[in-house]
Amino acid sequence: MTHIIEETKATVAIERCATCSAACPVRTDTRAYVDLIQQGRYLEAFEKIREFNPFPSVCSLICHHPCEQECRRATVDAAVALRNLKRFAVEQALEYRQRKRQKAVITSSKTVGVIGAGPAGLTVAHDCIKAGYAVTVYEAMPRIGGILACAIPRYRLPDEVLQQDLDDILALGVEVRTNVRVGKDIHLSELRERHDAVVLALGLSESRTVPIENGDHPDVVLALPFLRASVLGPPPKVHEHVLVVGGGNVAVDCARTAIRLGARTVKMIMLENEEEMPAWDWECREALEEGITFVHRQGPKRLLTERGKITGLVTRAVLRVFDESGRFAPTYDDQRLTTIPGEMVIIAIGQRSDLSLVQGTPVQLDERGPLRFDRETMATSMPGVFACGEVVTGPGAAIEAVASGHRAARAVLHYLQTGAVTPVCEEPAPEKVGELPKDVIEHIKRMERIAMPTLSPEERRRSFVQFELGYTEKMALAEARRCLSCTAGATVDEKKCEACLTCLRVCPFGVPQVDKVAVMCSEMCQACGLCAVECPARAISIRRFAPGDIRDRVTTLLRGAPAPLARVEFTCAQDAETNEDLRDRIITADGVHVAVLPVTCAARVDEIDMMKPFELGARAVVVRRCRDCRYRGAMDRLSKRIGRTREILTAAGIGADKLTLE
Amino acid sequence: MIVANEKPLAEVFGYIKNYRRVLILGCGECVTVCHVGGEKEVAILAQALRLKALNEAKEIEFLENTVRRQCENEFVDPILAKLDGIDAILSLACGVGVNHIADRHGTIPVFPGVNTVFFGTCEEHGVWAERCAGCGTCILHLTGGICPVARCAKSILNGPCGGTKDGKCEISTPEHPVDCAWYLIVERMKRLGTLDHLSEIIPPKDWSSARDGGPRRRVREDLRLAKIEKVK
Repeated sequence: MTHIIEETKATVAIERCATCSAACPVRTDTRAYVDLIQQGRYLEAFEKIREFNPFPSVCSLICHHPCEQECRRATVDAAVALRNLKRFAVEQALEYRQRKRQKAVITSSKTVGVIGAGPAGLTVAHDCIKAGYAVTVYEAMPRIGGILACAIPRYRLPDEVLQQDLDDILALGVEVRTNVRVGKDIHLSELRERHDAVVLALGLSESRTVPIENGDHPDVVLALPFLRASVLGPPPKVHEHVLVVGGGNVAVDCARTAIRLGARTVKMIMLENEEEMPAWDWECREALEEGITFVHRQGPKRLLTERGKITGLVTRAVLRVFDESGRFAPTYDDQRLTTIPGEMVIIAIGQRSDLSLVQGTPVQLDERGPLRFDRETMATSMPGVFACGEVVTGPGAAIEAVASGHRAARAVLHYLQTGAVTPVCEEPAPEKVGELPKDVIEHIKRMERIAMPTLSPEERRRSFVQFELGYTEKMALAEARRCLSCTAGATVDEKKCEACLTCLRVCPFGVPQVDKVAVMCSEMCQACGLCAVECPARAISIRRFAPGDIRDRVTTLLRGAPAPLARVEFTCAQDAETNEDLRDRIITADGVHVAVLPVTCAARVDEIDMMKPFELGARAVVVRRCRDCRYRGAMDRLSKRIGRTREILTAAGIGADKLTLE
Repeated sequence: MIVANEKPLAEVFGYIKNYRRVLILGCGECVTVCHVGGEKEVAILAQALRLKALNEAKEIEFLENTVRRQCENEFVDPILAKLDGIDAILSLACGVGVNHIADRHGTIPVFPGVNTVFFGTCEEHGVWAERCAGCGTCILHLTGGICPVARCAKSILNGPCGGTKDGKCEISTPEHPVDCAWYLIVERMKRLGTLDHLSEIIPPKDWSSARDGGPRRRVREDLRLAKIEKVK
């Protein structure tokens, strides 16, 4: 492949952040857990996820996956199904995580009080207790979990799945006091005396409402009470024809819940048009599949009733939702009215906090209503009282609450250690890796995204059973292999590189730029590993693989192997369907011992890997390639390398026929 | 660039088979680039020799190292200062490196691991061809950039001999094709519009600057350093 040596872009050699991690509010090392899944190391994948997020089970089902929205694979065919893969790892680790539970060691006499047992508050509790401080969480509801436990519908988040995360946190020794409403049952100032730091993680626990003429009717309900009743029981009565006012995710949850509770028709009436509709795209799609319809650009005006029963809603046309600066400022045309028939109205237009507990305390409110709060230090105006989560960020996703909780925990820990409040500094992230160039996209093997199997819409309408069924192992491995290993590719040791141009010539994607030394463009590299094997100066390492990994595995596996070892097989991992296929193992059949080592791309096996087994007592070596190698030129390199190694084996007295490519 | 070929494994083994601790020493420059003597080839040779030794029931320990350039004291001295029981060195550098290490140490046996062949260019990945004979009196200005000393089988300087056929030298075979250098020169100078320059009379070549004049040495007096005390 010819390559014109151009001015190298200065950014090329600098470390970059993968776009998935950069998009994640807690900077999950997504690529790492996907790679671990690909290697069949599911439990390690689970621990990698949990390293960043104490709510792996919850997020595996309900996260809005900003990582997928930024996945660079989307420009090739489709984003990698990162959330579905997370779910797979979580499901594999069910028993493992139970075995691993143990109480955190308390090393300080100082304690932390957290108000609110939602994802933000529980993240604070998790982080603080792991740092050695006893934590008590005060929760007004009868159970912990916040919105996750009380309002997220069960078909999205089954209770037993949520419980996996909650039980892990409780197992650390976090003390929980439910049915305690701070402000009523106990005062904030008392808590502040009891604990050395307090965190307000109150969330948005109340539904907002909107004035509707004639709207005071028992069948006009608010979203959160409706959802709470459907989740915690007793299930609310639902009429045949339901209208939901609102276009966000909570509104969709209400609509899909109403269907499952027996409504025949559900219409969502919203100010926004299709593009503006705030609910996630996939939620909208799933709702439409379940038979829900959307009415755009309408605002509620007047409730119609007849003989005490609701017959419909009069709506007015919306001219515009957002003003020039993008602020929410709807304008209407009261002359254009529509009547939408319906028997029940659920209002799902937003949520707000219950801040009554701050009355009579030094915690001040802002002029506009929310807490006076410093987003750098996470501190409120009351010393030793911090805040996090939706109560200060506004509406957000669960993972954003977790991120906020982490920040507050850092602030609290610093405060407990020093008595001072300081801006919470996160490590600055490296700049995220740039777009995949067109030339590279052209050469990336297309692999269709594995769709998550779901119940049919008809089945979904009938019950609250989890509607996404999960990946099988085969599906998970196939999906994990679609990952492009962004930023985990080749790096060059400039002291050794002799600019021999070998890497430039063998690379299937045109990654290396060679001037005085080879420089690897992280935007382009797919971490195939071919350059590292071919480099005559051994100047290239691939971040994705530990240096000398195959060699070390050969040595480890063969040192413990029974003799005689008939064969060592290096097999390409691309076609593996189970994690058994991915383990280094000895297979014994009819007294014949064969060592098997799966590798990511057979072309990574080098001459020494192929010769070493003979030194360790093997009688033969086989290299098994996959059916359809995704790296151009790799199989040609491999077969020529094997040809040469066979010549060496002949010269060494072993014999060429002892090494084969299959 | 200096190009070298592998030596047959059996031959190399023969050099070192009676030693106990052999250092295989690579070089980071030309032999790395032509894939015969860099860090990777050192590792391959070491592994091959281990297998051969096993096969021949010889107990030999092979150590591996690679230096930036084997023809410079600063790169080789640290290795030679710490030989730690090594009783032979197998150098994969070009002949220059082998000589230099042997001279520098003086007593340890140093064996060549490759056959150094020529100064050449990379025609394509994996294919190298001779381009320069190091004659010391370059005449490429007269021949359109094509060297008749290196690329003509007879190193003749006055034009093609009678053996040229279809642009190929008379030693050319289908397996080893050899272009007629003078054919190339004539075609090149036609394209450059300078063919008539070949009619000019030039004095006989001064071969004393080539190998024919004895082993060569180049001295740049202006570069020779005054003796100053080295910073440790």
